[in-house]
Amino acid sequence: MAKPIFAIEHLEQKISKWLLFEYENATEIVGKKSLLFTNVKKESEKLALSKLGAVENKSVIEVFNPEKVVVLDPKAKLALKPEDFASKEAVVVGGILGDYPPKGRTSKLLTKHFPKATMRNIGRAQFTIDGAVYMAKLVSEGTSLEKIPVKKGLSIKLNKYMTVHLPYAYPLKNGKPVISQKLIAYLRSDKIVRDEEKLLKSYLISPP
Amino acid sequence: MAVVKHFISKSRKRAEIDEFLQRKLERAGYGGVNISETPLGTHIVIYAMRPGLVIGRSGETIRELAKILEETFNVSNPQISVSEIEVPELNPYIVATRIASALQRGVHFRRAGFWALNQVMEAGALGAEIIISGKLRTERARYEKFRSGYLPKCGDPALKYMRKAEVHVQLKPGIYGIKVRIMPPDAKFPDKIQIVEVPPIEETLDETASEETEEEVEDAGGEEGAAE
Repeated sequence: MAKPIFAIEHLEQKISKWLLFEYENATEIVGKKSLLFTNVKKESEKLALSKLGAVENKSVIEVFNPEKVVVLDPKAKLALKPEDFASKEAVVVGGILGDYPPKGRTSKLLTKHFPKATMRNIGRAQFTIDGAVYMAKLVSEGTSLEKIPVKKGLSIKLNKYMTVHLPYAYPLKNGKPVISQKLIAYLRSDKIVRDEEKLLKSYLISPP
Repeated sequence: MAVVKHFISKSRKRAEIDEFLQRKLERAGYGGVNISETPLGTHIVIYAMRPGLVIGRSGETIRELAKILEETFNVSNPQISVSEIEVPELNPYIVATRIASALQRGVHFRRAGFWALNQVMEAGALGAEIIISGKLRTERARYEKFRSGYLPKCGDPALKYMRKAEVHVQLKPGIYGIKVRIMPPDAKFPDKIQIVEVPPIEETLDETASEETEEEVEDAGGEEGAAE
């Protein structure tokens, strides 16, 4: 079985720090050569993502033959199996920072336009982008989905009084959740407060 | 099944009234409602920071409220009374509303949550928990939890004493939820035993005992005298 390309269809309007940390972690998991970012329209974004993998301004629909692609969607009826990768060129993950409860944006923005592709889920819970890439990589290497330990919900203690809870599913690697360490440091720092405050105030001044 | 339906519809009505009052009395510092049915009608106690605004000029607002409750929510003969909240920091509705208005002014939820937690704990609460959840357009949805002090979530004290409230606030980047749980200072826990000091009664006992014996001796003497 040839190693598939891990394509991330960039579906967010902007590359925020959070998104970049997840993309960076995805690169660390599968390597720069196996990662492709599709649907990247802006030049500045192309430049930023070219450091992490190949970049394509077209959508994944136009890049690959739909019959040779596996699309990961939590709403898909069947679970991902190692056999699904036979004669497939790529596995597609939606580049979305999800809501909780999930709004099903992967289905609306990606799988709906890709009816001929093979749709598979990696569980009913919502995974992060890097977590989904990790799961897909293990399954493509022959591990069955049930054998990959998954933790639902992650609490990060910031100090004695504060905890951040991320209500997503995280695959476990050596007993530890697969999550960007840079993201954890960002959540713990004051940078996130300053960045979000700027954003919140921009909404107060001029609604986008 | 009819009984279940009856209680569900009652709880639903209660929640609807609570939600309505929360919206209507936002400026009055609404802090919850207590509804109890009596043979003469329904007694409704509204807790507010500024009772004057709930009552209105010569009882205008309260009469209007009674009319709405009777006509829209089918409350039979509503008797509304207003009670002032003495310590607003210990009322979860007020705390949640204050956080909500801070968020609307553009204050970051981490700052607003921590500030509110400090205020609640300084007011003397045994424990408090504030959960702010939401999503900014450029980030993932997440919960930020602020917790301090002793706050059991289950068991009799939690059911009996814990005060909780939930408020939603619509901001431009999305909707935010604020949950506040407060354990008031007067909560009693079965596992926390207070030993009452026994008052020093030994001396008084001795005194009364000696007085009694003296009286007995005197009485006995008298009786003997009488017999003679």
